[in-house]
Amino acid sequence: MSILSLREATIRFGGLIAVNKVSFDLEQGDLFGLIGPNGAGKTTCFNLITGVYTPTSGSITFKGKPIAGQPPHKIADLGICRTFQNIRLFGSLSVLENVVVGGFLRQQVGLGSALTYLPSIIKETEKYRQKALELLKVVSLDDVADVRSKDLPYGKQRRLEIARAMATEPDLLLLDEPAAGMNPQEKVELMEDVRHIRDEFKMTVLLIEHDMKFVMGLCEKIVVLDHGEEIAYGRPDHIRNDPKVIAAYLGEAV
Amino acid sequence: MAAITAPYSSSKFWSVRFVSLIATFLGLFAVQLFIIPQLNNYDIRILTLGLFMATLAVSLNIINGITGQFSMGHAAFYVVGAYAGGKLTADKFDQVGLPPQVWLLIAVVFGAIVAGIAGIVVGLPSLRLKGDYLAIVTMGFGEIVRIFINNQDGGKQAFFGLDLGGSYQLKVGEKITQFWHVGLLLVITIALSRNLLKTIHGLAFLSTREDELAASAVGVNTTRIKVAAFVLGASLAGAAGVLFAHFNNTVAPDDGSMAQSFLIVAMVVIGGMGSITGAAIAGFALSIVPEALRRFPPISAIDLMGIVLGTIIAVVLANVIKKQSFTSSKGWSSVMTVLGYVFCLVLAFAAFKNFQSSVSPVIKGVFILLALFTLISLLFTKGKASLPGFGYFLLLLGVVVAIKFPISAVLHKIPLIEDNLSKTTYTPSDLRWALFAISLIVIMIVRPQGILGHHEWSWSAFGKMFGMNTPNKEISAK
Repeated sequence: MSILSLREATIRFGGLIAVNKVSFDLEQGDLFGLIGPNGAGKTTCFNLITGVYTPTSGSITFKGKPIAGQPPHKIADLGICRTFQNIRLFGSLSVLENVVVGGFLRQQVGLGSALTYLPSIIKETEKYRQKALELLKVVSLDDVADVRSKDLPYGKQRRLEIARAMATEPDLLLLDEPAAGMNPQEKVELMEDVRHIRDEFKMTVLLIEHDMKFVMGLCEKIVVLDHGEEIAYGRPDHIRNDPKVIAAYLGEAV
Repeated sequence: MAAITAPYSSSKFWSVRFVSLIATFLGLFAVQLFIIPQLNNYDIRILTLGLFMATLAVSLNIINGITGQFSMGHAAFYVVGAYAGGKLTADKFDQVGLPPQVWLLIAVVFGAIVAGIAGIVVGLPSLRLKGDYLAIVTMGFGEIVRIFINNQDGGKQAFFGLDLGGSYQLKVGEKITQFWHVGLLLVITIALSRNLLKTIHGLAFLSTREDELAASAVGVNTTRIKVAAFVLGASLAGAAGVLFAHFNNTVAPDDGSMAQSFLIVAMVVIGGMGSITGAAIAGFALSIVPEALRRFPPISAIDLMGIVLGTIIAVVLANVIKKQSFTSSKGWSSVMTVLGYVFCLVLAFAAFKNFQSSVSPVIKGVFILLALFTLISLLFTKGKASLPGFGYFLLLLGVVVAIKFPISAVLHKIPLIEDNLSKTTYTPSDLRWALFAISLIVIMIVRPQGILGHHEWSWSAFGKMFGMNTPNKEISAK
């Protein structure tokens, strides 16, 4: 059974149909790419899946349960977590704290008992602090754990977003242009990291990326959107030679 | 900001907490038993009101600073608590016949709950509103509370015939609150804020401030967090209100006026948004300093101008000196060290002299603290590093005093000023709001993030301000 499936998911903003009848399925353990030219509706798609927007019509199911219209924190609780295209870290918190926040969902502490700060609470906090430190190692940010996240260089901020999303222990990880602004060397490292995350943490990964080399090299299946509509679906080599995709990216021959 | 750090080992936990609890109680009792009886009623009132304002500032900091929801109606929660607890005492205290201190505890809990419910009512609009819009709504809430109470005089227009004394005031009838009660509430408020920031819950509050969308994406229910912040801040303010009602004996609707709310917001902003100790210090200082100014003699307008101009010149001079190369030389440093010693001795002497005189205990306290700091600086090698800074400060102070006289003399020569201002004098206490406004402007220009910014008070940071090095920290960093 597929872990995530979109069935004719559609959203309109007034007269604009940002995402029009998009359907695709993600299997457990997939490395799945979502590509398309600017304004194709990729990030809107992410916003639909993570509950920022409610689809106008169509359905989204995660592990067999409909999730369309649920608030974002509920969806994070179910096991979907995302990163943002325009980095949205908690700027004045430290790198470590940014990741520990991810443990908020999974901790067994109520607000009332947190205020007492008894040993059991300290233990629980410490548990998630250790977990966060381990995740920082995965994205090799453990040496800057105490730095204010605002002060990190761009590439590290992107990796920190991935670590923060992983801290919520998701089954499905959505990465919105994870390689944007990275140099070729960093991109290669990121590819390794994403593969490692999928294999080691048994997460399914859905990612948006503009860098074709990155997507083709990493993803096993790809969906192509253009003007909110799905124009192609399949393996990288199939996508690469699809005339519709070439037209969308390069423009049609007159 | 209290951060998520490696905790104490659990075995140490209980001893540390036990000792700090005992120390807090003993300290508060000692102040209540030994220091308060030495003071006159006026001074006790000023100090207690200072603690009230500090409590309000710290509780508002939970909403404004930590959770980032700009609330401008905090005094309304205070007054809701005051009326709830005060009304309970006025109606029921005689009938029930519990010991006053036990009764006070019940009243405080009741007032905190009522204010907490008010917090939910205000917190709900915050789900849809942000920034300025929320500020306007909370301001409106403050006005609604004030006008509502104004009309509750037991007459025909009153809600269920509720008698809260209307626009006049509510007579509570019992003065139960003592200085240490308020001190204890402040400690509890600070402790709760600090505990919060040390847990993941605290991080959830902070993340809501930093980026709501991202916070919800990692699973923080921002709706609940925001309402929780309002309830927590409001009930602590309400508890302070109950204590105030039993301290003042009467509560008036204007105790929760918009001006009061603005003042509390100013305290949090000056202290540094999100800094618990910043809010506490700013709250206490901003309510004490204006009162302490009442003790100073009137000052002539021209002298005042001389001092202001002298200060400006000294600040400019300080900036010029800073850029000179000789400031890093050894000779300069040793001269400044000697001056620093002189400054410390002068302070110690002034403290000694003042201890016997009848000046305000507040000023006495400041002098005693400075003298203590002096003593520490002189005794320990670590402190010696701060002495050049002290000396530098003394030098600039000397410049201000020295420059003031010629400036005043020149000003006296100018006919326009001489004719119009030579007979004018100001009492410093009349200038306190001007002073408050000016210091607010200066702080916002020089340090827009507030005095402490996002940080917390610590002695090592204080030392660093004066150029003290802190060897311990460097070791732990490695």
